[in-house]
Amino acid sequence: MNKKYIKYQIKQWLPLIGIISGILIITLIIDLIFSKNPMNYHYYEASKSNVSYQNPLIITSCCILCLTFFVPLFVFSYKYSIKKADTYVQSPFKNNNLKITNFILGYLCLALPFIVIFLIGLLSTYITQLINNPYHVIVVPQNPGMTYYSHITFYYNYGYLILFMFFILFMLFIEYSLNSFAANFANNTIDALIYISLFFIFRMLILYAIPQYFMQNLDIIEYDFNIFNLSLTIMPVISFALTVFNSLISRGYFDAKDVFISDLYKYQYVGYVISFTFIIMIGIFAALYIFFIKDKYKENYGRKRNNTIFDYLLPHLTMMFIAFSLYTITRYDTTSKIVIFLAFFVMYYCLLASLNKSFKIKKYDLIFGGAISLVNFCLFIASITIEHLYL
Amino acid sequence: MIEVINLTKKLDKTIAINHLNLFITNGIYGLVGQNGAGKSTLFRLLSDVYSQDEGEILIDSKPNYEKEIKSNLFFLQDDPYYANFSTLKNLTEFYKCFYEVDENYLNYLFKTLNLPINKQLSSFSKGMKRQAFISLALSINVKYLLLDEAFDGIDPLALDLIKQEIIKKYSNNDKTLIIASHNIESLEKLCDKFIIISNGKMVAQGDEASMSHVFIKYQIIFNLSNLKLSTSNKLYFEINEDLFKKLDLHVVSLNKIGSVYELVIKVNKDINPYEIIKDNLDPVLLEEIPLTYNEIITLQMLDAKMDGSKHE
Amino acid sequence: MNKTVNLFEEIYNFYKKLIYKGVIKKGEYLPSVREVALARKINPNTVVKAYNLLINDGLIQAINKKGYLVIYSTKNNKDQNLINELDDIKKEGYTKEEIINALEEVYKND
Repeated sequence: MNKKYIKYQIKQWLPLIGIISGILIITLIIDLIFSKNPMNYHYYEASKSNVSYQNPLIITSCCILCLTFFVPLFVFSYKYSIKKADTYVQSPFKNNNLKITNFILGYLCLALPFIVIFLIGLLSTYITQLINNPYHVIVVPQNPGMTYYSHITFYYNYGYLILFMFFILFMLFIEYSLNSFAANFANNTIDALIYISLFFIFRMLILYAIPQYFMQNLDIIEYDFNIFNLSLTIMPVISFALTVFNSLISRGYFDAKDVFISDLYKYQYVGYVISFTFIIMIGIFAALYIFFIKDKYKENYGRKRNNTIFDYLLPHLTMMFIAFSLYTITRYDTTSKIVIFLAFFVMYYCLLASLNKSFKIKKYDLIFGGAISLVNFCLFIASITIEHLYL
Repeated sequence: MIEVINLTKKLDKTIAINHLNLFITNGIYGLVGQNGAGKSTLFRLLSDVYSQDEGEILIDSKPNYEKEIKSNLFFLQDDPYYANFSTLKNLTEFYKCFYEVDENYLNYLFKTLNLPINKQLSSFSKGMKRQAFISLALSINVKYLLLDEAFDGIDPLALDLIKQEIIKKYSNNDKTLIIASHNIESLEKLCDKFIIISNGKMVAQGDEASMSHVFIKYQIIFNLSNLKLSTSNKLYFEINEDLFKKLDLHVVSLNKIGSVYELVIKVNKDINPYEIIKDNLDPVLLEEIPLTYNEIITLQMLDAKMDGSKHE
Repeated sequence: MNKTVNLFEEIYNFYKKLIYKGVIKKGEYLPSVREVALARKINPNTVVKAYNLLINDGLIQAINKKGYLVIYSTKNNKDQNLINELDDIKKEGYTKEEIINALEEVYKND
């Protein structure tokens, strides 16, 4: 590790750190306002006990996980232009040190502002609690016209919240490694953005499908429909963080232990555990890949797409998953399905054209693309047939 | 000492460097070749920006991707990178991360070349940028310096100063400077050895003495009446390259200026071209004229190009 | 058999003329290799080659740590420059009679 280079790079990335910190401050403000708003908790109609534990910094935590999308674009920027590559790649670094130093610095750009702002948030809630302790909240039931008042005491369990912070830092590392893994294969900024997005969609579709499979086997879906469920479709990591870990915090210190473990045995949570384990495993694999595997096609830096398996499989596999989800998850009428079918082709062509930077399609892309378009077509026909037969 | 052994690199389905062998010791080298001959690719291979497909590059007997070797070699591209909004001061800080910069010398150069240290590089003219980067390249005192088209666009005064600094720094016995350029005239005086490459292959390598015996240039005036048939006015044969090729001469170029022909042939040790031409064609005038170094190098490139198109 | 205009030959000829003319006298030093290289913006090795030719001709001598000393004396020696130039003309194929006739033409009006 080169100390001067680290100092220089931090100086170069100060704007990035500034933007991340700025966004986190905004989310912190939203969190602190939101956490005091009783409208949030209207579903806790009749609480089992008078004590409930909440997570005041949920939006900040979700936000930092979303910001991992963009930081790899800076981390690998040294290979996204020919001029930069010429300068950086010839400079005297041992082995992969340039890549590793940038990778670690990128993570710190995310983690350090988050830690600072999270702790400020905790401090702020602690101080406000000292001033107004405890909260007395007016709870409104779901039926309009009927109101009754109840006093619920909100406490923040700081021990669990610190634990939550470390959990988010760990998941931050996993998501960051996965996004960096995708950005590492790209040779320019646009490709990197495309790869990150495709990889994200790919992960999301798989990780959404696994718990769905388990939950659909239950006749009754036991959890309430709330923001936690919505997050399932947004980001699997967040969903796990919110449904499992957060529920740990919201249960209360003494109940938590029993509830958490007994909940895990519940069938619906098996899906989450599998998703979670899967994402941790590929995240660690991604980090190890970045640390230990050297790039093979240095002459393509800043120029064209590489010829590795990842560069071909990623766009095509993701499009295949999208094709599956279009007809299995969604419920649309026939006309919409035709529109979606055509839109899928257009999207596919646009994707390949922007990756290859030309209107011609490469040979392997044509083979894979043709196969997946065929899959899309079969699914399209199948879903229309099923609709007409059973509806 | 740089040893390039059987180096091959394919880029985009064309072979950019084709089984190239080079042996580079100390001094100032000129790297010459047509556009697209592989000069920049060679530099990138030497500085480990590209990895070769085949072959080896050994610098001081060690592979060129090792850290100690890389910190002793610097490749200055013709349009180098600088961060947005950076000034010369920022650029110096950047280079200090990787190399040892002699700051006193650098400031002396900036001052002498009138380059403002605190203005943004984006406001510099092309020539000023070149001057700035060459100054940096000279102050990092690397053992192996590769300059790619570094002199284009620099005004004559600044160029003189830079050449003097190059002579001071790189004509010692322990350093190597390789300059790639198309401007052979300016290289001619500065370099003591040349490397000529064409289509990724080495055409010639060496100093003035070794290259000066490769070609001969003749001025020829023919007695046309000797060459005509007695009855009609037609010539026995046309005066073109084939005429000389039939005499087993390796023709490089044949130019006609009025009634004077200028013929350049490649030397073959076994034959005496003067006598062959004199005996077979009986010219009125047959005189050898001297070739400048510049001409020799251009001829090497032309000859290699013709050789290449012969094989296609 | 092959004539090329080499830079080191140019420098060699230049200083050879000066020495033969007596412009740089016996006992004086030629400018250092570095001085000449910097002034003409050429590679020092080129200058070294030229100086070596002068050493071969016996015109100068290399003195350790001091430079290149002229050892040729113009006293009692013919004007070697003139002799060399006439020698070049002779090499172009002119006979003695042709040269003398040309000389007489040149000095006809004096």
